[in-house]
Amino acid sequence: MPVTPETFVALIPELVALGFLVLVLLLGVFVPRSAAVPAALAALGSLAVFGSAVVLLAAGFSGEFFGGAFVVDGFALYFKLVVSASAFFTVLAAARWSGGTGDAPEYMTLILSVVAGSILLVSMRDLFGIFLAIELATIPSYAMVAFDRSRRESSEGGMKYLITGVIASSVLLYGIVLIYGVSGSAQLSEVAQAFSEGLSPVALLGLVLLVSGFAFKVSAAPFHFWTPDAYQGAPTSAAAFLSVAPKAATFAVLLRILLEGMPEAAPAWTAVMAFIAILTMFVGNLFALRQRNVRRMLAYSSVAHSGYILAAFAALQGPALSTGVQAVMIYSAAYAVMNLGAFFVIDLVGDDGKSYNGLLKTRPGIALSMGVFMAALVGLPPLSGFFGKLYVILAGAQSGSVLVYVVVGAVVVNSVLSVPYYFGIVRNMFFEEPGGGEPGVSGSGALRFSVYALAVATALFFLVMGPLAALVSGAGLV
Amino acid sequence: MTLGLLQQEIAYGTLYLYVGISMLLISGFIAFVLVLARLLSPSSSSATKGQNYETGESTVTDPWRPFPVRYYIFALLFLIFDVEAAFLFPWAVVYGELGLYGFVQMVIFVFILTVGLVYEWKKGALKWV
Amino acid sequence: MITTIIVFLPLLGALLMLLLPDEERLVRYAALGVAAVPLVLVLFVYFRFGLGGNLDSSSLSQNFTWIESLGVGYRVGLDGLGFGMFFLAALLTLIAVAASWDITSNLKQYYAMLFVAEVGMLGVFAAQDLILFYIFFEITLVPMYLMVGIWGDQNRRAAAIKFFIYTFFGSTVMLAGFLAFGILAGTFSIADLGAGGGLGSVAQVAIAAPVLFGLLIKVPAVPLHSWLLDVYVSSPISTNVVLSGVLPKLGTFGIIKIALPLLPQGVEPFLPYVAALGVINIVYGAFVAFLQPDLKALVAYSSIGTLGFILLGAAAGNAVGLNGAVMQQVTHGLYSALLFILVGVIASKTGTRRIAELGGLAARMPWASGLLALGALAAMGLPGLAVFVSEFMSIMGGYEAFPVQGVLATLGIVLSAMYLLYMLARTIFGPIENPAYEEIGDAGPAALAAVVPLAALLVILGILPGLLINVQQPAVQAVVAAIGGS
Repeated sequence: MPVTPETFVALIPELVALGFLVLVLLLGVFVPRSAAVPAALAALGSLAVFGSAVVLLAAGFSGEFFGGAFVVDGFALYFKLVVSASAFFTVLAAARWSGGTGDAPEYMTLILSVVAGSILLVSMRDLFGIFLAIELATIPSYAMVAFDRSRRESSEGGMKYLITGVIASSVLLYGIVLIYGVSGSAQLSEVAQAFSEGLSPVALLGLVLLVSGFAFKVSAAPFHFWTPDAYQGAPTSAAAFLSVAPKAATFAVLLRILLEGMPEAAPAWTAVMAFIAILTMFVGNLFALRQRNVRRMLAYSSVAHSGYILAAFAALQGPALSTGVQAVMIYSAAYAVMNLGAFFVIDLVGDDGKSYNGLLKTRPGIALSMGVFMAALVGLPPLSGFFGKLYVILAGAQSGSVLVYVVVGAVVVNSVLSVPYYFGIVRNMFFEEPGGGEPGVSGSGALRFSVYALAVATALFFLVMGPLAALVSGAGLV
Repeated sequence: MTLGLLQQEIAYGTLYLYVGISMLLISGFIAFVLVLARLLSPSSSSATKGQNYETGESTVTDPWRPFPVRYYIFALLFLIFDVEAAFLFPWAVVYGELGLYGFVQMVIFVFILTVGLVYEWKKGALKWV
Repeated sequence: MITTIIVFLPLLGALLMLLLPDEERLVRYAALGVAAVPLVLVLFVYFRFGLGGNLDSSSLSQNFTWIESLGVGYRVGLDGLGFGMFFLAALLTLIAVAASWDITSNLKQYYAMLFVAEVGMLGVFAAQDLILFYIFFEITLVPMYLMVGIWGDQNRRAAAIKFFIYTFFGSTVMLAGFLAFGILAGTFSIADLGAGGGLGSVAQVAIAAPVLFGLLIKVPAVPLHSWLLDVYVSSPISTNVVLSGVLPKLGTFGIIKIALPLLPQGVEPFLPYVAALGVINIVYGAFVAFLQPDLKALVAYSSIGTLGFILLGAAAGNAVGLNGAVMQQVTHGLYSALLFILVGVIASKTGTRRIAELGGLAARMPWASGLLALGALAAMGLPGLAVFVSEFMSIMGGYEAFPVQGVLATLGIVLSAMYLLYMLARTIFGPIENPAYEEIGDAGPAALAAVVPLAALLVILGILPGLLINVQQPAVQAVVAAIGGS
């Protein structure tokens, strides 16, 4: 097996992440009782991963390594950027909280291991490698959810997440094994050959199990039920991070599997995706409407947004192939900035809807930021979420399939359905008088910086849309 | 060799058929034996029959009480280094063919485990308190 | 370049508002100043370019690529279709600032919201790109929602969210149509799309249906209008000025600027129905206005009613009808803003908006009553006032294209004359109903300053409609040519 210097260049982001991971972990035991140092180091690590991916992208580096199992292309690097940038803000937001638990280095290590798994995942082109990378990203995330030992719900959420996650992994693995059995190889290119000869029942079963396993991981209905409990129990920063970074990476690798591994079976999986997408959007939004707890509401909202992204998957056919891939890429980035911010505000204000009353008067900066996040989650222009929906609808309109038109219709209807619950918070913040309740924590400077920076990024997303669109249209899988 | 012969003569998919048939046979046999035993054996229970016998001890407390967590830590540590050994033996056997590449790979693997050990050590997990 | 400056100046104004110290007089005068600047610039553009008929001058437009892979660009420019409304948006923002005496709390934030909304309103009428049009269209939504929700009356929360959901639904449906159009035609530039964007008639119909639906909700055309009454009645006066004067025109302008010329084959099968909806608006608005016990609700329904003339004239698709529709957008804004402000004056002086409790105000409030009468006469289409010209042209064009609808629309004029005269008789004339009204004074200087320019414009445009029609004529001809009609 040839290992050239290029191989190491290709692995730089992963190696950087792992290096910082080891550093942070050891630092925790050699420099005890320090919260700031591990957080600073972890933030530096995320930035280093981001920087190395930027350099690889700018240099136009691409190629296949380890016998085609590991690939570096614009698509993979783009998602490495999304994951590492999300990690950076998460580390900042979690810095003070994790110091309070006394286990800051461990928490930061977990974040970095999710990063390592996620950025490895988006580069994998081999079914077993994909499975390993998914587990590398998921197993630390169980611990992250259960990390807050001072609250019972955290353990409960972690336990539920663990059990459903393990079931999902086994379903996924079973699907992978069946596909391997049919094609005789785990390499996506060879799987594609096997699928091009027609879809045998076993292959179809494998595909269905694979998609179900992924549906679990991205909390798509009807496999979404772990999401609200896990996100409600999890420390806020963990919920924010897990709903964004590993999820984006999982969507990316699912896209890669479907497009590189089974393009010939597209009629089958686009139809499956169309149904999952419609179901996921409606389930997410209808349940979110009933929530009084903001954190739970955002958990269901993340289910709904998975549905919007899956709608782009359903459009991956005919002339819309390229636009569909771009839609997933743009949506992931747009969703990352707004959703991270919205979760971080919960950390500052609290998860009871009433604690947002009159926030405009008591804390105008936070209220405006939250208003921006909520409007962006609805999809109002010119905020970030709008561009995600724009690409999804574009891809759907281009696909030329009646089923996808129905999905686009569902996207439109669901955008409107989501208005009452997002704007319920806006109403509380802007229209109500401040309640007598506790004012909420003031939060660390780093956390507030994260919120404001993400609010600015969400609001000014349109400024980077031009370069971003050029990037994704050149980096696509197809 | 046998597998090679089979592959020449029988289609790949049919191999699964054999596996399936043998699984059916095995589970059918087990079910058959269990049902048969149930039907044939006489069954009568009494308090004396329910008691512990020979070396069995009667429990004195609730057996569902938590174990000290250090048992698990030591069990985990043992498991990790057991796995390390399980990897090292076959690696050592074919070391000559692997060359520098194999050596570096194993060094990385051992390094990762060492980092874990250092972490446990400094964290105080190795102290039996 | 100057167009871009005019569109985004209010954004700077909004920031300035937030930075000012909390001193009421300072804030009010600063807001007046901020609102006056775009208006002055628009007037400059009018005298420099508009009168000469060269609004398409390249110094007024700006064009650069934004999302290249999709063919989306930042493309703005003025044309005769939008110029009247561009002017009206700037004017009514200034009027709204002047008429904002009933806003007492969080004044700075209120003006900031108003100016953000102004960016959207100005932008819609200057946008030359479908995506940009949609973005500006939607930018008005959140400020309006907040203005109603924070500063409205006790029913404000429900009214605000209802307004938001209805119009957001409409605009999202419209967006889906735009996106299908742009992605199939390969560009979102309105100039490049031309008539049909190279699409067949079936595709055009499939795209025109959601676009028209979304725009008709915004207008609102009658079966889709249920969000409107709550929000009109609950809003503060100055919000009403913008809400009734400019926002419905985002919908009608979309029909005239985008649906008709860009999708001529697509809208063709729908046009008789759009004209019919226009007539329904006219007649239904008049009938329901008749039944309103509340003066503000009466004006709101009157406003819905006369919007129908825009739909009728636009659907006619001929030069006369379109000219009428484009002009009616402006005249409707002038008179409805006038009436809403005066209703606000009367309500704040007498403490009630119920028509039954009013009466004999002319003796106590001569100025306000006189102007109210002028507004009502304008609304019923009295010759000599601007609304007459535009309504008459709309009906002429409508009659030519759809005789039945045209004849029925004239019925609307009769009906509106009935209820408006009835309203005048019950409020400003007759005996003084309530002894307390003996004490009230006339409208204050702020209210008069807000209303008199509107009344003056109604008169001037009634006598010299050419001031507006000459500007819009070339663009209207281009639309007619695109439709391929007479």
